[in-house]
Amino acid sequence: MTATVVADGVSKWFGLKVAVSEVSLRIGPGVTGLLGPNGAGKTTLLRVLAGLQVPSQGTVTILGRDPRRDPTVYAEVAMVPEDDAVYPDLSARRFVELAATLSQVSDPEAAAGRALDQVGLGDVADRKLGGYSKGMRQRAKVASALVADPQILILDEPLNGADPVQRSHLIGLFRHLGSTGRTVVVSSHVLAEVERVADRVVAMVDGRLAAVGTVASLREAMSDRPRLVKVGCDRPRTLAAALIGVDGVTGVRVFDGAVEVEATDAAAFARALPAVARDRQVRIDLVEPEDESLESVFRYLVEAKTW
Amino acid sequence: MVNRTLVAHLFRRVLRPGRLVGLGALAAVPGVVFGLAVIGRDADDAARIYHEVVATLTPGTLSIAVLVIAAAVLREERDSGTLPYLYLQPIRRSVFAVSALVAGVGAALVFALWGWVAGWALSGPATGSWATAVPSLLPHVAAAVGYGVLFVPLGYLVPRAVLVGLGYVFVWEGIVATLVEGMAQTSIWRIVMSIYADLTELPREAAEVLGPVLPGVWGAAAKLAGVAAAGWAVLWWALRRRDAL
Repeated sequence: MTATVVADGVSKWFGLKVAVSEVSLRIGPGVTGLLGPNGAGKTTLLRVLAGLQVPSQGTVTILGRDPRRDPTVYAEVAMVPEDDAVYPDLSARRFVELAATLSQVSDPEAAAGRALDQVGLGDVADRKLGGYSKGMRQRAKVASALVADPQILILDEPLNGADPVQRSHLIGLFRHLGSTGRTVVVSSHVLAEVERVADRVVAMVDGRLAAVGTVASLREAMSDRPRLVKVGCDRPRTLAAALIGVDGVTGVRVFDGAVEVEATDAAAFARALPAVARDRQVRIDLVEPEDESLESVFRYLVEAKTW
Repeated sequence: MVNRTLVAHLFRRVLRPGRLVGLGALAAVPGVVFGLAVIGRDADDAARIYHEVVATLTPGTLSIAVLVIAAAVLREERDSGTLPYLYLQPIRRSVFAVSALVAGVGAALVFALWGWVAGWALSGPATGSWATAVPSLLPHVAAAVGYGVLFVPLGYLVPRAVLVGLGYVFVWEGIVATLVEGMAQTSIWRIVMSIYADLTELPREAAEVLGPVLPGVWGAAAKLAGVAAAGWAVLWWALRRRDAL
């Protein structure tokens, strides 16, 4: 893979808070999803990659150039920021034309028209951005990023606020751009969203790189991880004693009238639980996964280093 | 050297209607005060009052108007989150810095010239000569340039730039530069006044504002060029080395 975006030992801190820690990665053509729970450091990393923020440590190059020192690289790079910030008194057309003119596109008006059509805003392009819905503003921002036909697109949560139809349209557009040899980096905190748009995933948690690989390998790693399941019942000690012998159960703990079970094979545990309860005449009133958040999944990936 | 699209965008953004009215009113205050002060006065008194108002009241109003407008040029883009649309463009940072300064000074000139026109329009009938106010035109322009190139970088670098700018105007220029003779040369308004003093004979009260700064158009022009160069260098450095968000 020819890397177009390279981060080497990048850290970024604000006072005592470390937002990104020792991240090294190489991103090439195609769509790469940057996945992580809220507060994982995705936005900061994207801002550093785009040159909006200076790394506290480490280096970033885009197409072999440092964007902080050589802004001419922005003829080939565009970013859609996460903030819902636009110029409310400008029409979408003027907004995109502004980007086209600043990018020194040869025919800004025609380029703006094409970009707005690409995101499905051609018919409403003369309305002011202040009157747009959040999803429409997102699409206007995407149009302004696309107007100069960049080789590298950095998109920070670009699907925020978009309805399902718009979402589907944008995902198709990003996939198309990736398939034409452009480097597209899309951040999201929703695994299913990244799964639809990206071939490759960079996962972050607590400012650190948790995993880099394909979506399939991420899924595999997640299915192998131990799960914590809370089982509420009328005789927790009896159930706990019986579960110790079940295949795939690696630990049990009794607390607050419930049993907390750690299972390496969640599916096998789910199959075995009703039979065990019936045999011991235990009445189950609750079965609840305790660590299904994306953050807990990523923490596991960081700790287990299964990638 | 200048990106005209960027200048036009920043200029239009910063001169929004509410600001035009508010700061326009502030910039016109010296003219209004002059108009009230000369009621019942003869032409010689009116000319003296005009010079005194320009020397003592205009620095307070014009510097604040320029501070608010110039500091907002890049600060508003940063605070509203729209700066990436301008910053992530293939524009050399040196050109970006010049363009922001030109936009800031251009917007400042709107209020400086409006303030001057207000005073000039009243000075004609009051002094019996439309020429009385003419020597103060260049100082008004110089003030827009001097304060503008100072406050645009300040706005980019400091979140509470207006507060810091007011500290410069009232504490530094108003107190420190008045009490400490060696500091007078760091006062934009005294540099501006040295132009005024060179172009016309000022009454004693107005000339006292100068302190130890010698009258001279070219000396002042050189100092303002130095301030502009320093403002550009600071902004260029900040655009390259500081976070844009």
